[in-house]
Amino acid sequence: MELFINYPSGNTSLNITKRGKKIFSVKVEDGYNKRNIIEICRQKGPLKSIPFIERLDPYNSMHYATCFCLMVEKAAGVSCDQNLQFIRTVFLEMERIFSHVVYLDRMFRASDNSVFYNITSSVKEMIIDLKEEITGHRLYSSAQAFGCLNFNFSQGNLKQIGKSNNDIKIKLNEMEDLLNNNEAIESVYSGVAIIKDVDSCPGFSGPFSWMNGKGNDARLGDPYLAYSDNNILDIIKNKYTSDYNCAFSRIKAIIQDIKASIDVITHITGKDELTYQISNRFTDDIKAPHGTHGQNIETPRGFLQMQMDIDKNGNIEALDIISPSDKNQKIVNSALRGGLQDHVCMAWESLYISMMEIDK
Amino acid sequence: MQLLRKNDLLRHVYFIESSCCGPELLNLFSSRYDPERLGFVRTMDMKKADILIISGYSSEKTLDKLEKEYHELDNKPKIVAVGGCAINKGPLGIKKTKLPAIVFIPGCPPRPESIIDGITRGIKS
Repeated sequence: MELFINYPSGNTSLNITKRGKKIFSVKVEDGYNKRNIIEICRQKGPLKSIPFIERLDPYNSMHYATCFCLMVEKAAGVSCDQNLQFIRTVFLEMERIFSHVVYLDRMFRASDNSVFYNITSSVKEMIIDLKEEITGHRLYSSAQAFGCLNFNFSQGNLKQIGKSNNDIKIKLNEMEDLLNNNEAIESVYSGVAIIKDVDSCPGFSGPFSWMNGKGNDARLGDPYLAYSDNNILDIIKNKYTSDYNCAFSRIKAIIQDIKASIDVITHITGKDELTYQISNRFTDDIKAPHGTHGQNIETPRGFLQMQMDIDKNGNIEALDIISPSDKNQKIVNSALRGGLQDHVCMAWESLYISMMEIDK
Repeated sequence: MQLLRKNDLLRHVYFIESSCCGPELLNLFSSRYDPERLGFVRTMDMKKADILIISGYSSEKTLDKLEKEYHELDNKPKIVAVGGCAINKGPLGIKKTKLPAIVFIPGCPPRPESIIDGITRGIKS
């Protein structure tokens, strides 16, 4: 039985088992938080759907881990060290920059413009190198162990991030100069891939929707981590807006968004007192209270929502992960069905034991 | 034409960039690693390819299309499987390709140096 169509959460339905007039069981099935981008791209080929996909999930693995950790910390009633919150924010913003740069990379490659393409690839290399030097992994970064970081994080590391970000900003300024009055790119992308008002649904978020003035931003709506800092909020609030909603103006919006992320990182890394010691751990006797606890964060295709039920003994009874896209929702559901042993086997089989997996 | 292709000094590599292996492969064919010095370049046409790289997370639709296209080719390229997903389902637990790979490069994702090594081994074989 389909109840109603609700865009941010997909179709909500009731699964009823019935024999004659008796109802044996009723199960409510929520939808998923989606940004309608999947619906927009469904009828299009790969090339035509590139302008609509501004961020990609695989480059934002830390968002999922962060959401889980924040939920657990919220449930346990503990708040992490403020410096750790800043460091987590730095990594989230780095992932945001990386995924936006990947979008620009795709757009310039699709328009066959090698000058821009070379700039974006060098920016990507810079970020990958930085991540490798600090976290030990080239694409996945993790700062998610409960109450602590799983690697030593020094003042020098942070200063290095700040320095590299300045280099990235220089590259972006170059790109922006080249984009001004650039007929080659403008002729390809202006007036293309317009997002209609019907398509921009309430669950819509990210630079695409901010341009329409209809999107949400979880960082502003429900500030988590260091986003509650007033200076950081001021940086995020100043968004690029344009009445003309096409692929070309969206490229400009994305560049502005990357710049805002860089400003956030420079603001954080500029703090002198920012260090984190691995010895600062929580004690083991913390218990979460009985009830339901949840957390929302901003991810590539909309809001990611996690919820868990805790029983009277303080154990996790149920865990719901409502992913922003239906493809991910299927993978999440299948992954949750397996036990811990399956996950470990899968990780060994693929020779993939990153820091993130060990935390889990 | 066949003779010219055999004696060509450059070997053409075809790949679809997907998920986490994507940025590594894309950066591999940029100025830093410069694979042309080792004799291989990227091609956008599968028919011209000497090496076909299957990498990362690919959806069932993509894999079916790729397999279909591969079986239609006259000169079949050598296949290099890159990353955990292509070798053995991987962390995402997706469908495994049935195409016969000759070189397997494990890792999630593997480093560019190991991908270069794998491609050169594939060419030599």
